[in-house]
Amino acid sequence: MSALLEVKGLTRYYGALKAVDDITFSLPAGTILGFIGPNGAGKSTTMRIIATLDVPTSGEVLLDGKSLVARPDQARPLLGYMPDRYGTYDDMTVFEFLDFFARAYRLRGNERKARVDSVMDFTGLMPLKDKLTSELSKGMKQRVALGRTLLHDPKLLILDEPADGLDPRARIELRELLRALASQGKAVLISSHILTELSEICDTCAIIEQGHLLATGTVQEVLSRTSNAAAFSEVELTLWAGAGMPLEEIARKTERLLLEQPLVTNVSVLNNALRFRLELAVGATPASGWVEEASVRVLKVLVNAEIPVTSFRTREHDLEDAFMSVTKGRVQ
Amino acid sequence: MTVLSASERFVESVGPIVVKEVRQGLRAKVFAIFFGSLLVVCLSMALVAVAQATEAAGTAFGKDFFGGYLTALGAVTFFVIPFVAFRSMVRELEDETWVLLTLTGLGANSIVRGKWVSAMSQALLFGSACAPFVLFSYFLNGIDIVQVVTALVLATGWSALLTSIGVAVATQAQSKLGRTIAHFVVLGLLGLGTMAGIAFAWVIAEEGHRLVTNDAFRNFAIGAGVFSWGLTWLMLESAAAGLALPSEAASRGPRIAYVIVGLLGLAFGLAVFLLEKGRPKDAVAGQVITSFFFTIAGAFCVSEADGWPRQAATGSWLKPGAARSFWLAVVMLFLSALMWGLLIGDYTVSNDGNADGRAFRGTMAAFAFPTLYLSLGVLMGRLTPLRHLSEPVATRVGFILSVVVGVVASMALSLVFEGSARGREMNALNPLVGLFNFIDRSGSELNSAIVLLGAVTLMAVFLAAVVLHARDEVRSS
Ligand SMILES: Nc1ncnc2c1ncn2[C@@H]1O[C@H](COP(=O)(O)OP(=O)(O)O)[C@@H](O)[C@H]1O
Ligand SMILES: [Mg+2]
Repeated sequence: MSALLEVKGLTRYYGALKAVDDITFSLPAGTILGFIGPNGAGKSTTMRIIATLDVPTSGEVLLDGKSLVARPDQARPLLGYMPDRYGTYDDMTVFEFLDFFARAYRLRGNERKARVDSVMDFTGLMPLKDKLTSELSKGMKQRVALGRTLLHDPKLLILDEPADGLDPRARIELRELLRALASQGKAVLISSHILTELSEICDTCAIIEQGHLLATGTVQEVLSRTSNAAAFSEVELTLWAGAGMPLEEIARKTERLLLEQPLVTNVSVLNNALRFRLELAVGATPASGWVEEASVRVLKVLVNAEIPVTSFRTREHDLEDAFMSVTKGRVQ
Repeated sequence: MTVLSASERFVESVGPIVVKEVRQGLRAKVFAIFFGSLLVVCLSMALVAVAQATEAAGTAFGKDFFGGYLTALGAVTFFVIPFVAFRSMVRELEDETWVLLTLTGLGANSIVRGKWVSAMSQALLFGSACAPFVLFSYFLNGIDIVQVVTALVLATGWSALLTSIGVAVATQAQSKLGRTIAHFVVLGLLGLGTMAGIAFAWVIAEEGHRLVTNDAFRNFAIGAGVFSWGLTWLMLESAAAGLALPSEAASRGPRIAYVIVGLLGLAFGLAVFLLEKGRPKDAVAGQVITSFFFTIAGAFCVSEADGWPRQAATGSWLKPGAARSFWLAVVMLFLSALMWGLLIGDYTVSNDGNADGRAFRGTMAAFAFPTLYLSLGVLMGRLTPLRHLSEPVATRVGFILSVVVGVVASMALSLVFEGSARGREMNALNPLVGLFNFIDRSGSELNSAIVLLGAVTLMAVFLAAVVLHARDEVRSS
């Protein structure tokens, strides 16, 4: 089966500025694609084009096999779009807002009532039904906006920076909602300039910068491709304070030892914790598993010197590292 | 397609927005405040009227109270309601909620019409609150039912037009600065419109009997009534075009409205001219009025927004692209000049061939000036630093700037070389003084001046067309 959404060679100029440059990717039904890049990377522009709000300078976008550039009117019933500002009317209640958009989507009578109810149910807005949207918290407002995109049961959801400014709890709830939607078979395109927001939400990700697509694939693919390529890794270890010697003395001793080891840089001490960095020399090509090897070696040295280490942890590679390593040298 | 199904579809597409606006509107304090104050004002006027009527029975107070009610009603329906519609549209743009509406399949047209219909229903509500009082003034004597009906019909059209202007101005302002400017523009327009509307209401109240006795007065009333609706249509189409996304074809609606309202205007002018047995100077006046309309509307048509959908081509004249709109404006201006020119020629022939050179010259000038300055606007918008602004704004600002420069520079040169700011040669390209000279003054210098004007206009049209065609080609490739 071919993908629900196919973006081919998408390019958009604003005057002389190339906001989006030859972007190609696809998104099958039932998956969540994270669109990651710093501010001004071209995420919103790409999403607006996919949402039929703008036209590309060149390139093609197929939704369900049909060009949405040529026939935006036919594509609109299939997609739900949530802009980075949520776009709610302040002086309407949650119910009125959803009911209004349901009307706009030409839902009539009982069908409309059922649809609005089921959306409020799904997003957990039932108890807030009669509240004015202006009185809602940011997380709730965003759910109203998400509910709005679901009214006409679209196949593709386009969410521009939905997690921006949400507290952790609202973020986790958003993740659950999106997971549920994906398991219903909807394709979700979601963007963020904060990478950690997305690493737990999406199945695949696309890293974009200055209009270019730098890496695409499943989160695992991008991670493994980039973790091998990474030239450094952060390590954190903690010491036991009850070992007889004063803590400060142990810490100083550990710091000295660490600095004698090859590849170790940036050592810092904070009470009973030490942080350092394993870093390859400039220009060296990272071999697969070099971080693990170096960690084991350092740990052996510390144990032999009878340093009371209670924990030793290399920070896991996440999208943030992937992003840093892929965009290295291009972001200021 | 039956009328019924068309009206059903209209209600269906306009419905949601009207429902929403009414919900929001009734919640807003503005509505309650103005509704209350209007009732209080009407009521107190009625009480004063009753008191006066019992004191001096038999005197005709009707006129004054009629005018008074219309003033109060006009203040609300000519100013407050259009401004509220403007604000409502601006907010839709500020919050980008209109984008979400478009995605539902409502389309720019339905959004704009929905705003307008809900504003008009509010106006209707105000109107019906006032209606008993207006009828009451009828019973005070001094006015007749023709006046009452005429005033209400014209007021409805005027309110419709001003509301559509409010909505249209809002859609033209896409940036923050633009919206700030739009606030001033709309306050100015609505202020002038309200004063004009109320002044005319008093004319009808005081002189309304002339509606029956005076043909010119009646024609003016009919013309104003018809054209307020025609212009409302054109405004709503322009508003929808202003709101349309780059992925939608926006030029179709305004072009059709432009041509139909324009032709209607010419037909009305022709009818009045023939019925009233117009003379050449009337034809020149007609030409000045119609080309003024084609110029203002044309300035909006020749400055289309960026981008368009690839499939937008539907009939070659309706294809998007500023080049086609530009030619359309030039052709309409030419048609107008042709019609009035022929009427002058016909008059001349049937009156023993005593050619009226001034009338011909004036007609030609009233064609050449708008064409010249529209072209200059296009050139300024594309070739000067103005091009960094958004395209519609650049062209419109270019148009206004070139008119201002044309007027000021010509008058300065004329003052230096001809010793008077109103000189005939140096003002050949002055769209104000020059036009006045061509129409009203005589002298052989004017013949060379009109040749100069013609040559410059031709050149400007040619250059503007080249620039526009080149640009359209780049965009559609
Ligand atoms: N309407 C516009 N006109 C001109 N430039 C724009 C417009 N929209 C976006 N841009 C520019 O395009 C680039 C990409 O913007 P955007 O897609 O909003 O980035 P992101 O969403 O990744 O932060 C930015 O440099 C931005 O300034
Ligand atoms: Mg963005």
